[in-house]
Amino acid sequence: MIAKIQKYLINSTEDLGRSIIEMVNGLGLMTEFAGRFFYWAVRKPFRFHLLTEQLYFIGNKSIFIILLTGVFTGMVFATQTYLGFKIINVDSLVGAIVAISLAKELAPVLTGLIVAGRAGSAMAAQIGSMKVTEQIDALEVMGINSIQYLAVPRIIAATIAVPMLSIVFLFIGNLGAYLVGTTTLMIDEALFFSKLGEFMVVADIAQGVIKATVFGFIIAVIGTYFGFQVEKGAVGVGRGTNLAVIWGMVSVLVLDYFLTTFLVKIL
Amino acid sequence: MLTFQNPAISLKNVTKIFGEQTVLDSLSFDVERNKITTILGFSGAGKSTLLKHILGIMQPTSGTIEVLGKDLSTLGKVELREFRRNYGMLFQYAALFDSFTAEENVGFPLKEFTKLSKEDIHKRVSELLISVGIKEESFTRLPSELSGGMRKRVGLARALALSPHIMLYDEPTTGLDPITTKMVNNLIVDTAKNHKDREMTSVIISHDVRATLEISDYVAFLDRGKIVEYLPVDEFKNSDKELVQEFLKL
Amino acid sequence: MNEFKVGLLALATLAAIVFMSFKITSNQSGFGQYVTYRTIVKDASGIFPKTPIKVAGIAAGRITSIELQGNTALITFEILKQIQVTKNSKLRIKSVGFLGDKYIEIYVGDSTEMLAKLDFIDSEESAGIETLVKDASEVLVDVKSIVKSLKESISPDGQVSPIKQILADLSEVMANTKEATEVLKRVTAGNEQKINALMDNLESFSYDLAYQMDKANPDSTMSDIKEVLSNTKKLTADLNEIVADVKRGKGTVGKLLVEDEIADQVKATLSSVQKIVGKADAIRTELSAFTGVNTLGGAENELALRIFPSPERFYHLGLTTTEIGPDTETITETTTSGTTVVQNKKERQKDTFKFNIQVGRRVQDFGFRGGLIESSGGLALDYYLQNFGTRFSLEGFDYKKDKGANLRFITELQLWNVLYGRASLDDMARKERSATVQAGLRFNDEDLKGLIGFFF
Repeated sequence: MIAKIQKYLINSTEDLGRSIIEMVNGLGLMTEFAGRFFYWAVRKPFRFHLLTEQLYFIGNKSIFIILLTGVFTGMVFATQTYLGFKIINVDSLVGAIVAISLAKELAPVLTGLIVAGRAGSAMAAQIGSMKVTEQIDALEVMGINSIQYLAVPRIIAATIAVPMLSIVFLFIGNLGAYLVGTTTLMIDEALFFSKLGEFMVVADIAQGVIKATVFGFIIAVIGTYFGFQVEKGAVGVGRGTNLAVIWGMVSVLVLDYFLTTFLVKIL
Repeated sequence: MLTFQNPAISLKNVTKIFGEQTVLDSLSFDVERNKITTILGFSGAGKSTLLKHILGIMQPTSGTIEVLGKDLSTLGKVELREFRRNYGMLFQYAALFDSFTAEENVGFPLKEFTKLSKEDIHKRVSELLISVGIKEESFTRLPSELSGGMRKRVGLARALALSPHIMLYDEPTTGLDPITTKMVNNLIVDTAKNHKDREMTSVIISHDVRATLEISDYVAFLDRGKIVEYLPVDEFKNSDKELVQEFLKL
Repeated sequence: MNEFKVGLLALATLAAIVFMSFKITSNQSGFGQYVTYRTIVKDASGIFPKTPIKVAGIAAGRITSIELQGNTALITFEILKQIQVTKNSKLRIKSVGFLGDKYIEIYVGDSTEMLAKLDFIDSEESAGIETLVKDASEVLVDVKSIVKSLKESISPDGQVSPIKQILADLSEVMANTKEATEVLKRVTAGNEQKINALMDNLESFSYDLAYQMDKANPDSTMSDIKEVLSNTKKLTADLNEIVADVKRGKGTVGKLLVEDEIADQVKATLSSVQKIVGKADAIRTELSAFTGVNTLGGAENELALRIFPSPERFYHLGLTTTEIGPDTETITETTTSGTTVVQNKKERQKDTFKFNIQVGRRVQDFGFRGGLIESSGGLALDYYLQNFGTRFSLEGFDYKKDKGANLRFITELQLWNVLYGRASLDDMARKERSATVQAGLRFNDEDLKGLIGFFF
């Protein structure tokens, strides 16, 4: 009996250790991958048409869901904070609080999560299936570096698109909060804006944009990395896509914490 | 072992070790210009690895590889990239870019490597596609809308786009029905013939014995990282090596 | 085509950012020309670089830096060029609303000379006024509620005033007591005297009370309260006005400064309030319980309550018994006497319960008591040795023509915290002398509070 328990413990520890080592390995490989991105990003030829294509895919095509999520987030948040604020009679601060929270946290993080789910998975799937059908080999044989051709445009596009989407989110979220606040919640309109101006600073928006930029970069690096790692056919593609989404989202949330503490000190 | 003067491709004592495994074992191998050479072997014998070395995608652990007179290890990244214009490769499943039409696939290398205008590219693409037997109405089809045979043709057209001097065929007829096999074989032969004036060396990697023996000039047998036999086709058929005999019987 | 759409997205984003930035730049410096000035303050807590500067309540600039200069803080700030800052301008640190965010307000003076760049603007200490106002408003809240409940008890709507009610009840009680004393008289024959004395004391007690309650009497508590009420009413009205202004974010608390009348009234209110609060606060109580043994063989226990409406006046209510002590909620070590009384003094044996109802006055270290001492009229003199926690008392009561008075000398010693020891010599003037030794507990308010807290 004891022997069984011992065996189980040993096995579990081994598994755990192995997983940790694998993860650290993976992190190292990803860092190397990111390094290669930087290497190829600054070399000719510069394929701007690919960049635009990716910007359109990651940016424009996400607009609808960003608008939807943004406006409802703003409305819900305004409603929730109103309930609490009304009790101590500071309901005029709802606009300010919603705006600041959106700017610093909700817009970048939610946008990041949405993009990780949408674009991050797409990147892994696209590149993964290309790998499995030898299309990447075809590129290489033709003398085209697959990282430069596939990963660089996507990563740059995401780094640009996510902050833009985040700003849109922020704007539409505030709009939603304003509409709900002044119609359903009966917050005084003049107070809404004056308190907003009093408490919010440009630095708040800047924080959010910086975060969003980092998120965009990370999501794309993870997405393309897992795409290139795919093996073993359809199953591999599915797995790679899954990993890309999960790690993309996890990274967004974890980085959010570290960025917040870091940015608070600078700004 | 066959050796040639001024071969198109020349490998000298090429060894490749992956961790514990020796995939290529001090291999020396020449490919004659303007001929069709086939490399036969079991799966896992090292054929793909050899191919990658010839393409310059992989570097040997030791040994030298010379292609068209140039030592690949002396080429820098940019030079190597340019040098690749000399190769054309047809993959087993054609490896067409699935988001591009047939036209766009064939035009891709032209777009990337030449400064030809859109019209010129379109002209050349049409030429190529027609030469491999693709009708104009299929030009704008996506690979998913083409049959396997048609995909292979388009793949060939793409490989020929930059007028390479070395054509590589990775398992061109493996798994195909006899009629399509004949079609592909004809394509390979025609390609070799049509470009003879500009020089065209064809290398086929396969384990479809029957098909390859029909069209090859030279045949080599690769077993566990070593060239076991390398003879002109007719001699090869009568090889006394046991392994070769076994293989030929299959 | 796609490029165009991407471009549109980028443009839209840019527009959104610019729009939002405009909406929130009420406090930003960045547009406009600024002139730098400086000031020195004693306390720069809550002030940071970028803290806004306001002139006439409107944002006019920002703090650029704060440095320590000796023991004071040197603040460098910039103000919009178009604001003419004169030489006699003043600077004050103020706070916004509940959150206490601080900002700096500049009061431009009327001098004709302008300040030059980097000149110093005088800073005024504002903390005092502000905290005074804050305190005053807090006090007012308290006062309001006190006044309110006082009002209720003095003249609630439509009911008979409770005080009147109390007085009425009291007279009833007195009537009942008179009856009771008849009974008592019968029971304790020959003690009429004592009962009368008790009556007298009670009467004087209620008279005292009525005196205090009389509004018309200028000395009484009631008239003080009246005064406070009227002052408060006035002040509340004024303060409401100011508070309304402050709420609107307008005007400055400077109004308060300018109008002396209000300041004076505040002072008056505060001092009146203090009087009342002083009075209310000063009512102290003391509870004591003692148990012990008498040399004549009887157990003697005492339970007493002392009420101090003021530090020098008190009312003593107590019970003495020769039986084993009545149940109290206090933790006491009851020493039961096993020995039975052999000799019985008529008074003691029969009188199982004796009342102690006295009024007393304390002067310095001496105390004078008078009233019922052990159900008989008597007087007592106390002497307190504070430093030793000791009290000496001389009591004279139970005056009998033949026997004279019962003279008792008591020494009470504080043993520890609430534990006291008492030794007394009874009937010193008479032949049947005896001594009593007791131990007991004495609690005052604090102790009682602590005790109750312990149990609940």
